[in-house]
Amino acid sequence: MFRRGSKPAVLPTNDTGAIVSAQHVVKTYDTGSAKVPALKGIDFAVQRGEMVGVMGPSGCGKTTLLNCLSGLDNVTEGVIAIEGENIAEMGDKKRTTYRAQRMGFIFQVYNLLPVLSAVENVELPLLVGDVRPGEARRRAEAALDQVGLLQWAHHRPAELSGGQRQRVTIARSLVNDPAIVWADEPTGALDSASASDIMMLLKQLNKEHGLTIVLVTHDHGVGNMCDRIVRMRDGEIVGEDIPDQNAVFVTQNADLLGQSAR
Amino acid sequence: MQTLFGIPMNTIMIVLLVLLFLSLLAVIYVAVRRPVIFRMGMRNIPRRKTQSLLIVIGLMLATLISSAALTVGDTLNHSVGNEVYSYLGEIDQVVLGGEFDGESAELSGILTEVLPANAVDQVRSASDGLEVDAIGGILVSTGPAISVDVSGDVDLSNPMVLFDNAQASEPMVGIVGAEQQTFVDFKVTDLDGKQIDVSSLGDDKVLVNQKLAENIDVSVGDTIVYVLGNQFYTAEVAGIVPTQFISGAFIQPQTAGMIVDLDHLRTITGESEGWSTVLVSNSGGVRGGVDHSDAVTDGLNERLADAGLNVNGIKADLVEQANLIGSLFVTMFIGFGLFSIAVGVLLIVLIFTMLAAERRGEMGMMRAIGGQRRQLVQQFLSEGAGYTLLSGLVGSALGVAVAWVIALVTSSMTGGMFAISMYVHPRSLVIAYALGVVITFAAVIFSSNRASRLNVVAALRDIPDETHLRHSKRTLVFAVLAVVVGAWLMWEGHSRPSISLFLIGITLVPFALAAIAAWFGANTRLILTVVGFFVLVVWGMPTDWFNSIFGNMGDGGIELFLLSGISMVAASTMIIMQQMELLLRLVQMAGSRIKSWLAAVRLGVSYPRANGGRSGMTIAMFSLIVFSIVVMASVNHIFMQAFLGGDAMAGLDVRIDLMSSNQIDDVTTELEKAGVDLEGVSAPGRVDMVSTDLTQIALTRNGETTWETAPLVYSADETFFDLTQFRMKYRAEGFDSDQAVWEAMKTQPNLVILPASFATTKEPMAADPFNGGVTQVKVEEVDGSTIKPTTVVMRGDDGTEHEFTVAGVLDPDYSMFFGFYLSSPTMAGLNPNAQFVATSYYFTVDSSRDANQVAADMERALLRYGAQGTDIAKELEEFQAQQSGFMTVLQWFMGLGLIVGVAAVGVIAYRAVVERRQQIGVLRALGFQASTIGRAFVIETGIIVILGSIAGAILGLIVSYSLTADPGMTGGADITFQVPWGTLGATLGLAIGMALLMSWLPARQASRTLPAEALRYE
Repeated sequence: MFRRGSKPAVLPTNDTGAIVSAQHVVKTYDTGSAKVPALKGIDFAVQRGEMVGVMGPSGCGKTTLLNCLSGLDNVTEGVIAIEGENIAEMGDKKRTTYRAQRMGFIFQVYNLLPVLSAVENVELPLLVGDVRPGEARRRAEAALDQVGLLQWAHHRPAELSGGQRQRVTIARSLVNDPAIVWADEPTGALDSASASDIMMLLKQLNKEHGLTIVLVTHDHGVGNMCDRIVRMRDGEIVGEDIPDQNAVFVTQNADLLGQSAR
Repeated sequence: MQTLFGIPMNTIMIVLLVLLFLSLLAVIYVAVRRPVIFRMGMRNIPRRKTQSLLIVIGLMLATLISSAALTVGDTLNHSVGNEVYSYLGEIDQVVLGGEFDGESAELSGILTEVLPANAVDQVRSASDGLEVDAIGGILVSTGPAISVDVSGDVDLSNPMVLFDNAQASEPMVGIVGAEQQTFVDFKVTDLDGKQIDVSSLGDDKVLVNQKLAENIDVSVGDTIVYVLGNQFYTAEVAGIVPTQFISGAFIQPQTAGMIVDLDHLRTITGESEGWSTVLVSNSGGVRGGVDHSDAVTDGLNERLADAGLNVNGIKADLVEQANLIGSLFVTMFIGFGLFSIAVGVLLIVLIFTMLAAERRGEMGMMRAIGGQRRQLVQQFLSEGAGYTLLSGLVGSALGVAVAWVIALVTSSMTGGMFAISMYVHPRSLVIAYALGVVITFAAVIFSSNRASRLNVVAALRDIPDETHLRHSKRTLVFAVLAVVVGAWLMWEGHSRPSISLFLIGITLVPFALAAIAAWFGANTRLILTVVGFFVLVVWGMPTDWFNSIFGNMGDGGIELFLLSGISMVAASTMIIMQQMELLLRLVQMAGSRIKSWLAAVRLGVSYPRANGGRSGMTIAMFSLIVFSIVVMASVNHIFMQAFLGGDAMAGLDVRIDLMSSNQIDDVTTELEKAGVDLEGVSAPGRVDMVSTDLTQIALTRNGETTWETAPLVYSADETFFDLTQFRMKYRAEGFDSDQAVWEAMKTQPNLVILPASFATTKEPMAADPFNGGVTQVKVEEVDGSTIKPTTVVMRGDDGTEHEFTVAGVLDPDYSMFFGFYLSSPTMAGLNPNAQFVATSYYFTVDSSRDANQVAADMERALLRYGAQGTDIAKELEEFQAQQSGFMTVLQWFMGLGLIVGVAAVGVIAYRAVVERRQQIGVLRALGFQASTIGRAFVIETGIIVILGSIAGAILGLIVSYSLTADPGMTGGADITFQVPWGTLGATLGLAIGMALLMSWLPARQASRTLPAEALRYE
């Protein structure tokens, strides 16, 4: 858990244009019998409009970092600020409202509600944000249109392919016009063609709409699509790269990433 | 208790034990031959502890209900039986006066008949060769007894002085005198078990029974005064003996009595040599003697017929009654408990269906690596065994505790006539346990067998199985077969007649026809909805309508109540599930009007739609629970209205009861003499209960006349008819007003007034123990308040027939009157030998006077006559409280089903939360507040529980309405249907409230988990 006593004297701000910043973030899992350090003092910032990839081998703490940065999880030590506000001081209700209004999430296993149709899944964040049902439906359909799935709007997730489901997830993450989208292995469950489509879509959204995206991946090809790659190992940031934007998008084995980091 | 629903208990036990043995054999087979499968099943139990606990509670309750119902039966049976044996001791038969005409003499003859002096010898010589080990005569009488303070110099021969020193009194005491040898032969002991000695009692000592000692608070050495034939006798209490037939409780058990010196009793009663009755003891002891009772009774009756003596097999009759009471109660409790058990079965099926859904992936993997379907079933069977073998034991034990509470309350209904001694027959526990385990195994096999038919790929990928309408020929063949079986059941039911068979048939046929129509591609939603409504109409229509359409097939037993509940609930659940889409749309439309609830409503309505099977079973469960409680409440209400209406005594306030041995010539003068203030008190209206030889009444049904048991006959004097302002339900043609009927009763001979439950415009019923022993008279309505002149024919023992004309039928409000009312002159002219068994004087009391006080004053003033004064309103209140107490216990018992239902919701909600933990994480990540998620779960459960509860309530009210219009239920009384709002509100409130709480708790807990943690959950 976050310890208030460990709060640094000066909070990170967005003076530099950072939408999210982390200072000396430590996260330790207490399993009862043992304490497992997942993040070991991370300092990190994401600028507005940036598309950042977090890469590293399995178990290096990528997803934990993303969860902590987005406020889904509490940190053990350190401070995370989103748009200048310390999320540890927000409280659950405010943090949740912030997520509903300013964030979007894309997960590896889609995480769509199986009992709702595509459009109903997409409009969920709007309904909790008190948007009127008619308006919510209009915006959800627009988001689905944006990802090319309008004709599948009334199908349930079980009736869609993996790529289509991930597009629904992207539409859901965009529908509330977020300041930042968090993507955890967005292409992890997809074939290379679908993965390529999804990444092109995210890139397009980043470029054309200035959407800030932080994505976790161990796929070198996915990482290459980002403006910046943060490399992690054993709970620490071990380096940053500016990838070759012109590289051909290929999916590669995650082990390659570890080698490139070295 | 030897039978249940007509099946011998031993047979039930053996069948269940065989099934239990087979179930256990299956588990042992798995454990030995497939240890891995067994371990997999067992290791699933501790995986989710809370869920396992809820499952165990659910399974436990099913066993608890059976165990409680059976133990109540055992305990009541045993307690009543015990009471019979300790009440009668060695007495097996009593010999009374009157000729034997195929029926035993009435016990009341003990006070009215006197046997000749040689009766004892006659019985003794007649008993040669029979299994009889003791014979003795007793002389009895009745009178009041008073305990007095003799500490000062008191002249007890002066009544006024006596009353001033009276401490406590007992208006009706049975007094017995017999020779010492009789007490020896019949092994009569005192409280310490020592043989009593009456030889030294003399004129001034008595042995009082325990009941009398308690009632007037006396112990050995105290002085009492007893009154016989208006004379006062002072005596010292020489000892206290148990309350038995032979110690004075010969009118009924647990009544006050005493033993006096025989010679003294002969002197004061003037009965110098005769006997009231001759007691007969069979060989075999207190309990074993009853085995010879039939042979001895028949043998003696045969040999004593010419002597004008008649033998009553009192012990065998009472033991049989005890068994009947035990069976009646256990049938009621099991019958009503079956609803809870049915809910329990649904719960078990639901639990294992959900467990199967949870483990779909694992099951898919098992199948993928070569596991057989039966191995999946074996795995669930092992797990089921783990849950049920232990929970069944706990359930059986808790059932005994519940039974103890029920038995205590039930005994209060009988006015504490017998002491409750807890008794559990090992057979009952075996049956309850085996029933619980076997039901669980059956439900587990059924649900896991269904779950094992999975598509391996769909299970592994966690995508829905493709569902196809099963167009196999087998389905068609089964459906056609079901039509044939259903039609046969209808035919058989109609010709037997058996309404239960007919209704099962008429329910089966449309379902089977629907299956055939679906096979040919018809719209199932429409067809099933129509079938559902058809079944509801058939089961729910009032008896009158049913009889006029299908013919009268008689009344069903308690099993019909269960069948109606299950059929109607199945039909309504089917309608709800077919129209779920529409219902959910309505909920969504309504919910969408509250903006802050929008997201929660959207989620809440999605799951019931998606999990149809689960939703349907939960709806059915709550329907059954609420249905049974609502019907029970209505039955209670009907009973209260029919037999215990608030106006049951029509403004009469005080009643004085006297036994025949202490008649008063002029009660008003006697009261005035004793100084009772009669200001504001009416003149007494006298009603005599008369012992006539009119024992049979003609009953004509379907053109055929039979002779049935005649009702009690009362004769009333003119003042009573003047006092009464009873309303009539019907007057015979020719009477312009109710008053004209009463006037006619005073002057015209051979008129009779009937209580409402004795007259019917429908098919009349013969007397049986379940309708209060009433043989009904058919009357023909001219208009709502007038009937055609109706003749009632009664006949005496000698075959002489007497005709009476029904002058009127009392309003059903006056339900405390239970017999034929004739005028005194009619009675006198009819049967000069008629004997007054008891006399009641009725008074009305001004509002300025306290009826309770007036009753107490009158009782005190008439103490020497053994008069009993009663405040009628208070008596009625107490009676109502006893009856409604019992009904409340039954309702609570049925409420156990509610606990099963709530446990079910707990299991479902817990499962739902576990299943959707990851989804909860996503929703939280998307910005759903914890409260919104909790609300969504509550809405989801709310929709299901509210739909089920409301359906159950509506069905319950429909059935209750039918029962209200059913003369078999109301005894012909004109009952107004009333919705039992109180019970309905409480049941719905409790069911819905508890269910919502049970769903909110796990949802709240889950939604408070950090989103990241929930997302990690698999």
